[in-house]
Amino acid sequence: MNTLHTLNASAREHGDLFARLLRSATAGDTLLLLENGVYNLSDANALQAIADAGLTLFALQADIVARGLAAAGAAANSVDDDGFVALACSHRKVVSWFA
Amino acid sequence: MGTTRKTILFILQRAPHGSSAARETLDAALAAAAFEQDVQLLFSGDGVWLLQPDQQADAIASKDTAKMLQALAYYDIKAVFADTVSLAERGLDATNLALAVTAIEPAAQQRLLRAADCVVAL
Repeated sequence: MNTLHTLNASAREHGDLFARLLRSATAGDTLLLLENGVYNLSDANALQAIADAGLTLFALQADIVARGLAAAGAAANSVDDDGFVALACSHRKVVSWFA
Repeated sequence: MGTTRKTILFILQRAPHGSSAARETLDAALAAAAFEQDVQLLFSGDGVWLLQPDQQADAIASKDTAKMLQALAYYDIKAVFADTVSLAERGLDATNLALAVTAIEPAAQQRLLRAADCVVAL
């Protein structure tokens, strides 16, 4: 089974963290954006880099709504807290990329 | 204690001074090794600054992480890696560091993450 990566920061503010995540992830892994990580949904360059890395993208719905990003949220599969737990359980391990 | 032994990869990604995160990650790695887990370290991002030679932490009354690095061998922690990109971006020479590490390219890091039972990045 693949790895679930979680990211809580924007690529604009924490470019090094974002770049290291992309270097360490394997195509076919899953990326879940949470907290300020959902701002990446409004960043075309970040979305392209995630797609180029072959990652399946999810984002935490409450964090999207809280930040008024519902329109941009369509760029990812959105999950609630139960969905977060389900993702954690369906992957072999979770790697947290936190600023 | 049971004999469940796991491979735990610790990613050291914070600079040694200014916050306790780097030191606490090292503490966690040493503790895991003391409980006979297979501990691996990956220095990445500003965590590679832990490897900078000639640090004098006492000048700012900070804890000396360089001494902690020397303790790794006594805890049988031998799988010690650093991200080639992070080293190069910061002008660090992989052959002249405070600790002998194996500098690895992104593809090797991907294999490391895939193979680990769990990955800790604080």
